[in-house]
Amino acid sequence: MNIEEQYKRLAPRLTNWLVASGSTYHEACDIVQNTFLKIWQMRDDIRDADDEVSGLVFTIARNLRKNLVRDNARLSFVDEIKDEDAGAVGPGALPSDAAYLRRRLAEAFSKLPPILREAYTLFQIGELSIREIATQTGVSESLVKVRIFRAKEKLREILADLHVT
Amino acid sequence: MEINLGTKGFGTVGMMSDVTGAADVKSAGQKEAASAKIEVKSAPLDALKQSEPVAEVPESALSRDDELGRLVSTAFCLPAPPMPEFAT
Repeated sequence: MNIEEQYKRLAPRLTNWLVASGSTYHEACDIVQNTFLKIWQMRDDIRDADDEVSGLVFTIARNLRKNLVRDNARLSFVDEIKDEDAGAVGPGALPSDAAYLRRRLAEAFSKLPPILREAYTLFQIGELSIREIATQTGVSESLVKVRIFRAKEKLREILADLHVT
Repeated sequence: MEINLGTKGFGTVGMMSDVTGAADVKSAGQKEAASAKIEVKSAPLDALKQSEPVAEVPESALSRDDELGRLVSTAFCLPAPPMPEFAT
């Protein structure tokens, strides 16, 4: 397994998924690095299939995050990310736009039922396939699709003032 | 049937075999009974898990590249931390 390639492919997705799931940026960075240290320790037992690696990476990160949340007894949706940390943003957008959107979206995500939030953020930000999400969450692929669909509907309601279609 | 095999002169080995066979059958039966119990117990939990309505969702509704998806991607494009140094 080429860990550098897997890191380049998965670390940005994982970092952003963790932030969207309520971790602070610094917590997310710690979890991402610890996740890949564990992956490195297990490298001889991991097949190089992208699906398998991404599934494992997200599973380890979820567990590390759960432990961290349990230890800290808190799950923050406060945007503690400085504009300069926001780094790359979409074409034409200013970092402050991204920070504002991130705060709004984080608030919106926090209002979703956890099962909808998890399915949608794994799909949109984690870029996992429907099958990978089904494996991660232990439900059928059909149910994953329904959860993503319902999450999108609810997000559009919550963010109605942004006129998102 | 087990008793007949024993009485037809298979002797101790036959009897032992019968006993073992019988024990296996019993053991398998017990396993079946145990798994049947588990199924009965887990059925309500499964029903609870799957109680969300599952309808057919059109693929177009699952696009990552709709307006909402682009908004989310714009907001959540934070850089990953540097790759840790792995001990070789």
